[in-house]
Amino acid sequence: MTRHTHWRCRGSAAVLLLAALTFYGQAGYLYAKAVLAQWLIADAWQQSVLQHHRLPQSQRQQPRPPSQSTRPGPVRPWPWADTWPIARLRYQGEHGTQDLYILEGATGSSLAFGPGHMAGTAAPGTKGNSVVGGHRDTHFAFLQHLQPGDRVQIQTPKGIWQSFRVDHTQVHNIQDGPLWLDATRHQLQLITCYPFDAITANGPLRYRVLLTPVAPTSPGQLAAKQTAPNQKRPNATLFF
Amino acid sequence: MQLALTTLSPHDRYNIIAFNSDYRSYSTHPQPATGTNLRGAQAFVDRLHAHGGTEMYTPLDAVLSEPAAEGFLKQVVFITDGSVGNEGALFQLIEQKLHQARLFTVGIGSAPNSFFMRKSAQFGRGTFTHVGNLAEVSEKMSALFRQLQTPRLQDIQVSWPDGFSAEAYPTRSPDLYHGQPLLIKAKLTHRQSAQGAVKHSRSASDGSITVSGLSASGPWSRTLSVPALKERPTDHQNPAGKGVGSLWGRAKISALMDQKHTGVPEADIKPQVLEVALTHQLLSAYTSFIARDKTPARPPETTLKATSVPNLVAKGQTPMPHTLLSTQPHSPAQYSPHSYPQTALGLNGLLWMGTLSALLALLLMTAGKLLMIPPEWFLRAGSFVQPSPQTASQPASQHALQGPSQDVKAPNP
Repeated sequence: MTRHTHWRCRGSAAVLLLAALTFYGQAGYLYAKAVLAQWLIADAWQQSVLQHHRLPQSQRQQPRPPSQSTRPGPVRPWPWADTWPIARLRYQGEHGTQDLYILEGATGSSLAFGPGHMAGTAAPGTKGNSVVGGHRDTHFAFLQHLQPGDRVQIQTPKGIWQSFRVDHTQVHNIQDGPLWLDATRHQLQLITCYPFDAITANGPLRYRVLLTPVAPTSPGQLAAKQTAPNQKRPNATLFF
Repeated sequence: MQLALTTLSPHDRYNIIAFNSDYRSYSTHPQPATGTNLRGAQAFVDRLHAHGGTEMYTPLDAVLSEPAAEGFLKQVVFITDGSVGNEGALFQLIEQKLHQARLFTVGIGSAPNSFFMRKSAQFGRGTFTHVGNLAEVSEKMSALFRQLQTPRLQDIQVSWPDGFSAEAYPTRSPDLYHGQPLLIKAKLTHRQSAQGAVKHSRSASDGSITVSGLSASGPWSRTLSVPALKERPTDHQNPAGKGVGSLWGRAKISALMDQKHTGVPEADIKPQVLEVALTHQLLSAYTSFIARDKTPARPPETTLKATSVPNLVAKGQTPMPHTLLSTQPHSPAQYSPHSYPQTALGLNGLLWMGTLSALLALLLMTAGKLLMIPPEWFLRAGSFVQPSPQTASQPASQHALQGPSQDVKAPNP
């Protein structure tokens, strides 16, 4: 082995190592962004729930989308954020616990930090057809474990928890047509990319989890968790 | 403007009227173009600055009302770069007050209403010059002033061959200036077919057209022989005459529309225009063309094909319930289409690429030492210069050969 080839060998190895570090770094950065942002968003969520309960009773009655509300305004997780939390999602199953804050807008910029509520659909936890999207490799990776009958809890900015039951799951190819939503139905849809372990992004398949709201049947358990509407301060945010 | 003044000779008379929202004239009456007067005019022009609006009725009225001096022909050169709105009133003014004068219009830039400028030049029996940009000004203007100077043919009369009645446009021939053609479109009707009484005129027709006029050097006339007119008017259409027909029709429509400005009610004009336009298949104020595709993309007997468009709503756009799309049979108004979000970061791909790169790097670093594989083996595929692959690989192969040969030799001695 000559000296020249030896150094060439080392050089190309170094370039490859650098590339490997870049790839890992990129993946780590994206993952860290997804995980750490949720901590900041948690704070913003606490504030917006508190803010709601400080409002006079008359203003509290009407549901107000954050973009239109004049007085309090949406609480942004960081000053330059172009999105804000609009709901909280909780799931407890054998594969772990998920506690996620749903952000406004299912665009790439909000999905990087958390699951995004698709604009134009009903807000999660309210009456109507609601759609929430999330990345299959970060926040919504747990969707693959959801089975029909599983429960998912959604908290609205009022602090009220609403329980949803998984109805069924299905895979849809976006080339087969758009997502048709029936405005008269009261349901929640969680959407992520499919298959979950695909190597590249931008695949045509989507995994849909359809959930239907469950009437609060067990008052004893839920009443403890739910915020009593006449209370001055919510206790819902404190029970975890 | 200065150019125009230099072309004047002491026998000419001139006046300048500057107008914007208001107007002022150089002098109350046209002045003889003598040296002192001209210098004064040049100074007047130098002081002019273009600003304000374009109010042309009053200055035009003033200019046209000024009677021409005995023995002179009044030529008005109307220069503007502003737009003209009250065309109807201006046309009427020109029509009523023109008398023997000639009106030449010059539009500078894209603002002037070229329809008005062309029409008023036509009413004024002059020409219209359009100057597209300032670089063309001197070229176009000198061409115009050369026209004004050069001998012209006035009072042009056309006598049509005997036995024919002619309907010619323009009805009033404009004066001819240097380098201009005389274009008259006429429809000749053989009287024989129209009126049975003048049968004998057929033999007198020699098929010639005489154009006469008054030039600077006296009366002028020329006779043109048109062989086609000598022949007996037949039913067959002259193929070359087809385009002329449309041209004539267009000229007639234009003349009819011009009557509107002279006080003829539109209700009288409309049926006449319609008749000409429909006969000659022309575009007019009352007729328009309809394009119809003759080659259908889909045979009428086949059914429509339905294809869905993936992720219809643009990224970042708020999807709203589409009433337009709800015409699809399976989607009543309560359904609304939404696009699916992009819900993958591709972390797997990044991790795979990272692992692959790391493994390759590890292989490159350790391969030469551990497996005794020459590094050229990896690099050969690349674009590296290979200094001497044989020499580099020789030590390794020699080692490999020496090993077993020693083993074989050992028991021999």
